[in-house]
Amino acid sequence: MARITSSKPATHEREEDLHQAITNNQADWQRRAFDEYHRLVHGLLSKTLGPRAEIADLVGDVFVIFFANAQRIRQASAVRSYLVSITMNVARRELRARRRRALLHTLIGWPRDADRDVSPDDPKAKAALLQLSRIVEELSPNERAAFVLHTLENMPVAEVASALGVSESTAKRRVRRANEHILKRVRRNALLADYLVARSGPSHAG
Amino acid sequence: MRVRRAPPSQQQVTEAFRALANEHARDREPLDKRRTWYALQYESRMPRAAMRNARVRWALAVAVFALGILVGAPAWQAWTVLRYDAHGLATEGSNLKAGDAPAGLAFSDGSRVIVSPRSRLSVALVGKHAALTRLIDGRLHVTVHHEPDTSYRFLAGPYEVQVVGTEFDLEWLAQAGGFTLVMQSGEVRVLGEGSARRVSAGQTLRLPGQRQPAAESTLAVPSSSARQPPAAAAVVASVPSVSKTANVLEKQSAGGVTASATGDWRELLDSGRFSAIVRDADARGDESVLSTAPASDLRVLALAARYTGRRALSLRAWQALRDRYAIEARNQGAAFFLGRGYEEQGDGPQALHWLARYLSESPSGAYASEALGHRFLLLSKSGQSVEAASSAREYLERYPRGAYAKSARIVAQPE
Repeated sequence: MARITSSKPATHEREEDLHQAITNNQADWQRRAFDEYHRLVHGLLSKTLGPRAEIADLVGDVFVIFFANAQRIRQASAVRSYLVSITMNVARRELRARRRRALLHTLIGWPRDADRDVSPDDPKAKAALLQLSRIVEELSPNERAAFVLHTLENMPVAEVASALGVSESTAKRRVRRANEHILKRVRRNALLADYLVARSGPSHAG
Repeated sequence: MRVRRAPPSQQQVTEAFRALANEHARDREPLDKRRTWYALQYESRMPRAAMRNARVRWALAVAVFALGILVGAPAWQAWTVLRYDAHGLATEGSNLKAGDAPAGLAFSDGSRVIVSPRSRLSVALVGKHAALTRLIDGRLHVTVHHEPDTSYRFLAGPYEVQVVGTEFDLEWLAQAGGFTLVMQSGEVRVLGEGSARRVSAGQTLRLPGQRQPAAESTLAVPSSSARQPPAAAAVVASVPSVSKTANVLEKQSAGGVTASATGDWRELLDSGRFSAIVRDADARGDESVLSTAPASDLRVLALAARYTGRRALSLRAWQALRDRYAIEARNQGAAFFLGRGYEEQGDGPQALHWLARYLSESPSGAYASEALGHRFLLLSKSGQSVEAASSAREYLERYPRGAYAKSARIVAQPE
């Protein structure tokens, strides 16, 4: 089981309490786990699958799997990493299913999946997020998962490797490829590049 | 004029992307959280992927089942239900009718029925080794292949012949000769008016027809001194009996002799009075008939002799037909009947010779499938496994659903 540790003491205490509740099968442990980790799971799925994806059901899938297996978790520190692993597996499976559906759409003319509106009110932000998500869609499911965990979630490479079940060098290679691809594609799009530069403030590196 | 900024760095892209993605996720999260928790709480659900997998498994199971029905049904039917190939028979409503030449039924279990000219019958297949044949009028020569569950029933007027594996001639002439059963091998049970009777090899049973009184039944036994096959002996033995039926046949036969017209033989054949034809030929002298009779009479004599168990005379008649009338002989399938005749006599090499001859002369003839089937079976019996396998493969290529296909698959397999 993947093991991802949290650096914050308060978080660590909450994890210990939750693990205790899970182990003792307390009445509210599922609600507590859901409240504690919904944002994490939702964010990971949203970033991996793109802003227009309907992810509520997938979040539900993650928690159904988690609830069914949580009592086998032996360490409090493993609860979060276990959820991350489940989430990324669900996300990658969904990405592969989407590709199959897209192929079917092309081959036999099935209607496309309905898109969900992108939430930012700022039209420029909305457009930028959509364009970035399109670029991310060009990545393979494995590269996309590595990119989300490392680049967007700031997770160390070792933890990314653990969550995805690959070696650190593989995780590092996937992250590098994903970053290179996204940077190259962003630089080709002058409007998007300008927006990102303006939004992020002064350049930190060349 | 818009001022072009410097290209973004990796960090700028990352930070901007992260901020945008987090903003989007934060906006959506509360609403999605309520929906998700509601679904988890109040809907009994499993993960969507698992549901999809379950659906896929169900779809696959249904597809496999449907495929099994599509593929398995014909195979199951072929395995469980008897089939037959009809040669030389025309359909007449739900009945089968033989034309001017002898016809045949070849069943998938190896049983065979030779149908005399102008005979009418119907066949219902009722099991893997079970068939119900109604002889409406005419004469049949029946060979039933024996299996533990064999049940062939032959209905002839008010009578029923029950068979589990035997060879016999069955005649039913509703308006004239009545019921005649000439047993060649095995034993059958005859049901009808009165109590059931068992008729064994060599015996002949005659029962009255629709216009004859019920008392006119006879059961003749074979003559011990006769050199002829049992069935033929039985027929001869029955002639001097006091049976009115037999006397009628005798008179009819005598009429054929006195008339001495070749057309009479054809009429006798059409009415199924085979023994009368043979006796007429005997009276006129076999050698004389074989050397002088026209082609049509030779064919009639060959068939009549075969139906009455006079195989040697039948073979000589077919041979005479070939020697004297090559074209007619070829048209009538004389080579095939010679092959079958020799096979019935146990002369394998001669049988193979004539069957091969028939197949080379009439590769698409009426008896080609049966000739090819008997050929590979004879070759297999004689230990010529390579030739038998080759012949069986040829049979399967030409008649993949033929009556001998099951045996052909076994013989065609390399050892």
